[in-house]
Amino acid sequence: MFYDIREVDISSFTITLEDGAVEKPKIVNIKSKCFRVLKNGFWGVFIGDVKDDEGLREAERNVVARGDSEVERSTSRGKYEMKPKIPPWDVDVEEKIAMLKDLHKSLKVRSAKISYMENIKKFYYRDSDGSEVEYTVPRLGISIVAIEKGKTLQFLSKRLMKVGGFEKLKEVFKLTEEINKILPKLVDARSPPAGEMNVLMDSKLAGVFIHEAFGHAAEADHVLQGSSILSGKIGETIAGKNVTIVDDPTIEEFGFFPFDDEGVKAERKILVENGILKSYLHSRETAKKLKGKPGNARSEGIDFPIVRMSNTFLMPGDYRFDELLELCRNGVYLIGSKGGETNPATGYFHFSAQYGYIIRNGEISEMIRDVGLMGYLEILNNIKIGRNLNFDPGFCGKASQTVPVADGSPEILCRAKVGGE
Amino acid sequence: MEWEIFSEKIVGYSAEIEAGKLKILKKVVDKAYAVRVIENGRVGFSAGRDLEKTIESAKKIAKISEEVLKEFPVEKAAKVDGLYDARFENISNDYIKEEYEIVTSSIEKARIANALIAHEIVEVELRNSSGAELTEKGTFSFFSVETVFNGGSGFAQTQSRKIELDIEKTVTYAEELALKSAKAEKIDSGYYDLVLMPQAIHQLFSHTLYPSLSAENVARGRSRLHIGADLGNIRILDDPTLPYGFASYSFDDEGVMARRKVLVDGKVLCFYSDLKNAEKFGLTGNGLRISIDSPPVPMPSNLIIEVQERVDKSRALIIHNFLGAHTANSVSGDFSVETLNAEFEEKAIKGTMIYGNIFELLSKIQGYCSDRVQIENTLTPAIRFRSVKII
Repeated sequence: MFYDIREVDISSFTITLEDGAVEKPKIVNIKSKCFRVLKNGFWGVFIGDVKDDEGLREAERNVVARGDSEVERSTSRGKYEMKPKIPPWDVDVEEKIAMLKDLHKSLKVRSAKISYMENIKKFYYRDSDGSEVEYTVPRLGISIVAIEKGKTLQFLSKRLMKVGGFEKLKEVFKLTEEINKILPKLVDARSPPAGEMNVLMDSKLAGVFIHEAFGHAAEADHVLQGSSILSGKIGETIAGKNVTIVDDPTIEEFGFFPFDDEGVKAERKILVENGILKSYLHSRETAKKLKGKPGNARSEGIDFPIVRMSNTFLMPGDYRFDELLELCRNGVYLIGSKGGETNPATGYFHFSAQYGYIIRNGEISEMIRDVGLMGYLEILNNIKIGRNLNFDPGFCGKASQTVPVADGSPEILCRAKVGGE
Repeated sequence: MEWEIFSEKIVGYSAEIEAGKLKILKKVVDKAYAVRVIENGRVGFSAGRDLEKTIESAKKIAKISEEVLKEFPVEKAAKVDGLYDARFENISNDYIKEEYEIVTSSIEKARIANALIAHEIVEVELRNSSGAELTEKGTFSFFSVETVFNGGSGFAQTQSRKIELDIEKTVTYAEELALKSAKAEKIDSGYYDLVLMPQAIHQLFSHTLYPSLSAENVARGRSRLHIGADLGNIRILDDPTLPYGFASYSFDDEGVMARRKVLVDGKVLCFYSDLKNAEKFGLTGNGLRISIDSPPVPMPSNLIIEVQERVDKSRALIIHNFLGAHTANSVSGDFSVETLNAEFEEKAIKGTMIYGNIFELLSKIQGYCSDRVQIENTLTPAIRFRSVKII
């Protein structure tokens, strides 16, 4: 029998500025425990804030069948505490509100919602093999949603979210600068063209592209479920030689964690190297079954950990932006992400840009809005990659659990299908 | 000082099936509090597991709030049938194992990639300084399944306030979608009549139409809609009193009595509202919390979609599910989304997007083509639309 006990204590503080006024400020404290017992190849689980012996008894009571689950047994011990330069909780609330009000004043829009969020996650893990792990990681961020009306009613959202302290927010006013520059034009922007075409993506959109086009299919639980097009393809060429994709939870971006939710020390993992599939992302269970390395099991709060990405990125290539523009020649240049979704079983994925521009004869031309894109994994066979790697923070949803991630990429040029008029 | 204490106790059971095998059985027991206080007219909010600390935090944070509320309401609870099924109290592991047996026996050719069976008892209590003392015990069952077959996949879900779930029908539907999807072909771009099946209606409307009917969004100029705006041949009711409705309740999360209202009858008649916006938009009983950790905001309950004329599905592109519906524009109503399970003249279709605007799409309604079913909080038939851009 194997068991583990996870205890999570998250304290968060949120301020929302609705059209300049502080509304719905909140303090939330979540504390609970998850008990897992693996017996006869079956997982019995209990979630509740009870003593360890009671929780384990309840979990074992849920072992109701025989199964084929087994886990990679490894013992982890360690403590980690991220100590930010300027701890968010040491900054006066008045200073935070003043910053939000300054951000609001700097916006020239019809309506805006500005949210500040800080939280501190304390994590404790122990298992039947003697693992004992604990860590403390603070996260914080600001998101802005601005609304304006022209020919159409439009919104533009921007966010800055990091692990660490208040010092990470020093560039927050760049968000309002971009909104003031783009939104007045976006309200009068035209619909995008339709069909398959050359698509030049900025690094934020390209990061989501890598996350959706490849990342989810590399999650080994999908492989075991028979719902990933990457099943059985380790060692095979699945992308162009210029494509190297990495998942690295140890980088201090929004998807950072020092240990995963199964107590395994976080490690950088090369998923694709020069176009060849090298590894899937693994939990202890998928690692055991597919002979991989665990360390990628994550959960929202105290739910059952499942295989997830962290900071996932495409390694830079050789192209300058002006070279990509010239190679694109005619197509679209798409900027920012409104999110995406993938079907790992078919390899088809969908994602949307915040706005973009027509590229005509290698020149950036008129603005376009509401650009949705679709594609499939084979697109990675022929992409041209820029030089400047940037990360974009976000939240990734899977099996009703949401976790913080960061998607990274340089600008890329590819062919994809664009939905438009 | 005015105060409101909202508590939620959850006892939940769920089973996860992976690659056709029962893998995890989980029990969750949780009780949490959400407290709002009004101090000097300012509203503070806090949530947590310790009531005393939560009250102190709410009082502390009220000092920085600029949100104004006079008082908390005292209203009765509406009488709503079918909120609670006493049989949930005796759910056994054997019952869930029997449900799993139904899952596996319902599928023939395709395989179950993953499935979730969940049953939950939720006990809500609301007390406030105005004298409200309300309680409600509700039960919820949910089932979702993803099937795969030769590179194709299908997704379906069902839910109920009763302990019984229509697992067999849902698995069969998901299997049909996977089998068809395995033979999917591409079709030419162009304008096609479209039939959106209930799951697709829920996915698209949730992200394009429903936000525009929120009183908060209208008040802040974040909606295109206004009272009297023409939405075409459609009637939309918000009804938290619907017997056995998955999103039914007897009082909302602010203690306002549940009320049935017609939001749209060809034209926009009203918006769903919380207490804060009630002065302008009326008390509609739609102040709901996304979770115990969030203060109430305007959210819809059961949205009942009614369309007048029965029509057939012939020569229409039939869409069962969308991929990326959440990336649609919730403010303008524009969408550019991908079909996940679609068919045209009996043949499955892949690699297809639809492009348009929800308000223009509503003006193209031709009629309904199936009985009404509930998908999460949407009750809708399949609906046929004329001439929509397919890419």
